[in-house]
Amino acid sequence: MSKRVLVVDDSSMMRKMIVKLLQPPGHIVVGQAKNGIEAIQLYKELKPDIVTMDITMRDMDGLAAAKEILRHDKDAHIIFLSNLDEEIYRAEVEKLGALGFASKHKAKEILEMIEEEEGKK
Amino acid sequence: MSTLFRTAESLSLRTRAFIFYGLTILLTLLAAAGVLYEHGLTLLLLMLLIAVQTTALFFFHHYVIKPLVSVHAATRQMTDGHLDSLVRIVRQDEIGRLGESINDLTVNMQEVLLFVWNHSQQSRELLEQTLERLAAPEPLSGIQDNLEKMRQNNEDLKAIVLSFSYFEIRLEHERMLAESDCGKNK
Repeated sequence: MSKRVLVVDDSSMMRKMIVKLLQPPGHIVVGQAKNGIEAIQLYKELKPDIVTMDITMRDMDGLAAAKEILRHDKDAHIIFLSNLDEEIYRAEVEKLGALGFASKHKAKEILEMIEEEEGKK
Repeated sequence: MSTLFRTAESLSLRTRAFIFYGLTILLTLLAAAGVLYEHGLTLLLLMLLIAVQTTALFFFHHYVIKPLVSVHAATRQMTDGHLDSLVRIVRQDEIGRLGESINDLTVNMQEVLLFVWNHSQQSRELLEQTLERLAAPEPLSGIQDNLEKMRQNNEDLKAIVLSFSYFEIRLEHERMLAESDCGKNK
């Protein structure tokens, strides 16, 4: 099933790569944000099915933005994509609720997680 | 009056330049008229003209020269490999946008390098596992899997390189070619 996705990452190149990853399976990228503040704003405007959220960003990082988005909509599906080592940040992510955490560099993992998130609904 | 200042803050450099230019022309014409008709206000107009010009000079120094110097310093940092420094200009005008673009460049460069690190790390782990398996007196199971993963890592690395376009270089799947006819007989 194709999802409407909001891509959040401070690197325009990474956003381009994630968009390229999401298009062949038929998902629609409804918006792109480059920091937490834009992410929150675009989430409220676009109400996407899924958000791919980078963790390290300027102005407002992914965890803070996710907290705010979840306050606004507790059913938000946020998948954290990061360079960072999973084990260390998994605890933080779990604290926010059972959301996904994938490595930015493992394309298959990301797509699988998107399918899975829908299944959880 | 304060709202006037606030809107003045968000004007583009081009608009501000035009304003200074306009004020200068206006005051010059008025002062010229004042001289021609020997009006008493001439001296005041001339003083206003000088005040506008002096303000323009300070403005130019503070809003154009200083930020350009700091933007230059930031790009030098980046050239030297210090991808951790940010350009600290928080304005909405042309120079602010320039600073923001430079930050974006730095972020992208960092992203590419971290990507390479990550994939190298994964390949390294797979290689070590494979070496261990080869050293053990056990069947070669799992090695094919590891090698396949390494091949995938290699593909991913190339994919990120291919997402850029290059000066004078064309990347094909297996080779790196020169775009122009450099070196060939013309």
